[in-house]
Amino acid sequence: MRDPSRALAAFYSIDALARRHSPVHDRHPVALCATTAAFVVTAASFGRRDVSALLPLFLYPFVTLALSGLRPAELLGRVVAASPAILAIAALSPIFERAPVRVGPWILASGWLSCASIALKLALTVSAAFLLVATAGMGGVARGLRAARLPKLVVLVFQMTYRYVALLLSEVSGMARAHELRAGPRKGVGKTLWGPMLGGLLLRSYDRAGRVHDAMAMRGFDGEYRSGRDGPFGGLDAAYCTAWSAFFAAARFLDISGALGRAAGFIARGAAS
Amino acid sequence: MHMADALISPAVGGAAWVATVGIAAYSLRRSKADIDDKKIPLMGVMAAFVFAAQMINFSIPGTGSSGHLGGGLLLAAILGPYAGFIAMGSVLAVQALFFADGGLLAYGCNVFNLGFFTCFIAYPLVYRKIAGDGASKARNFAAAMLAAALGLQAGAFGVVLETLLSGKTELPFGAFVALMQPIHLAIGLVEGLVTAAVIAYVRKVSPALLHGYGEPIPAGRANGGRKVVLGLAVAAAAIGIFMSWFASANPDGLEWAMERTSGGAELEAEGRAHEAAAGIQSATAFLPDYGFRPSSAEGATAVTGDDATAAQDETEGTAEAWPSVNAGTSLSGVVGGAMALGLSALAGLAVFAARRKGERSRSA
Repeated sequence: MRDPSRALAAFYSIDALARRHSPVHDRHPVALCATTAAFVVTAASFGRRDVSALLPLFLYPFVTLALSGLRPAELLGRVVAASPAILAIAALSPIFERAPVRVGPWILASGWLSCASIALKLALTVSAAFLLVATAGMGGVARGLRAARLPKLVVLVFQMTYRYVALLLSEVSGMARAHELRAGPRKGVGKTLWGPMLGGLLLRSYDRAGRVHDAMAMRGFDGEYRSGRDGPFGGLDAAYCTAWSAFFAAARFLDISGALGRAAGFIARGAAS
Repeated sequence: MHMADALISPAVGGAAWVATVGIAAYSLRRSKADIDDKKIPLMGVMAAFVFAAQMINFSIPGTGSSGHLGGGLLLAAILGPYAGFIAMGSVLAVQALFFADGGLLAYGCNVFNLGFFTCFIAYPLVYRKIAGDGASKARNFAAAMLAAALGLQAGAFGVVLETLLSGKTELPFGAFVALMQPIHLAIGLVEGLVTAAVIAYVRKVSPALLHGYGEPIPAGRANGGRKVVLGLAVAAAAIGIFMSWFASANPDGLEWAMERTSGGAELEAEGRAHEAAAGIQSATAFLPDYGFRPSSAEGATAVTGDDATAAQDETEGTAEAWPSVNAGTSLSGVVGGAMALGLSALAGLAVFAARRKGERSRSA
């Protein structure tokens, strides 16, 4: 909080990633949103103890990452940041599901399969959300939502939630400095001041947001952001969406992992004999 | 409190999405009359404020865990329940997209848990009833504390129900409730304190803000048809949840019963459990419901029908009862899964290399 410029830079860094150009970035945001939705539903629809059947789905984040030129570390950081609470719940599975299961040559409690399955689904779905905002950006997601016929007001408030964080943080830094200068040797904000500080922050931010809104209205802002990237939904966009959806369906309904394993076994036996 | 996609089934997630969209549509209709150029920036600021509040985790003494505020009651008190619900929806959308806090499929559940119970239950039925006209400080304080605690308790219970209905984890109901409710009681108390303090200050300094927007529109101003919309949304949610029970809970119930029987009276239970498992297998033969499912189409190590059933049972957690399973079949699942992951990574690397090569040749 002390250095809002750094907090802000981190907050808006994802949006900066979306300003690049790549075969993924250049797709219509509706195609990106639809593909992400299909992926998340597919990943979540796998059963409680599916582990190996989930693995082919990793093709999507891996290829999208490579196609879009994003750094794997950015994605990994996001997955790690999102995991602790969910993994804590997943880690309880081996305690409550004790029935033994044989996995290849090993025997485990079936809870370990549930645990691994939750961890994989977490990695997949968090990656998908990151890849969506890092390629479509806030503006792209908002365009996707508008294309899905969401009311202008809802999309506007959604965008303002994101953008006004900057406004709020700059008010926080102003108030923190003012308090520091008046507080003398005391450290931290006393309990009696919490209400006035938070309430004051709200009122100050609201005043400023009102001025920003008025200024935008005077320049002709009618609630629609026009990004200049509003190309039509083309054949490539449709192909992108269709190809991935077909792959997701294949991964869901065909046993790709099993087929690969059997093929490997067949080749290994052929080589041995 | 934010649920993730990893713990939710499409049926439960979809049902909650339907309910949330229905309530949002109703809220939008109800709030349209009083949303003007002054209120839009206020909604943005309030949403950004709650968003920031949700990012700050505080530790809960004595539990070793931490929590963050929900903020639904504050939104309802300042924006009114309808605009408050819409603002909560946008807060959680930004959380899900930019911070991976709460999943995209679970978004409906999250908005319902954090927005519906606070804006439409705790605010009108508890907060406004106790706070009255807002003249008494003590009543305001009590109203905020009680409403915040109640809203979060209901939300936490929603999380428990939705998670268990999804069937992605086998946490016992009692243990899960005992885990969630006390922690959210502690968070609710902090939330009540913060909400009461902020509202008290705003009431003192800028009462117009509360009176202008916190008051819900009198029912007379909204036409009767809108009640039908809310009724439909609630019905949709009820049907969705009911359906999802059948969609996800029935096989799980069988599975659970099977595991219990196989874990209990071994020999007598074996036959029944075997039959139940065979039934499941025939019903799900074309779906890879279990990652390590064997295939009867195995080449050289062909499994007989009985073995396939046994192998299926094994994945259901009854390996001890049928030790005759062919390890090779399960192994093919493990090996195949690893290969799929490896091939995916290779495909990614190949695309990356091709792109880099293309960029170099363009710059050369």
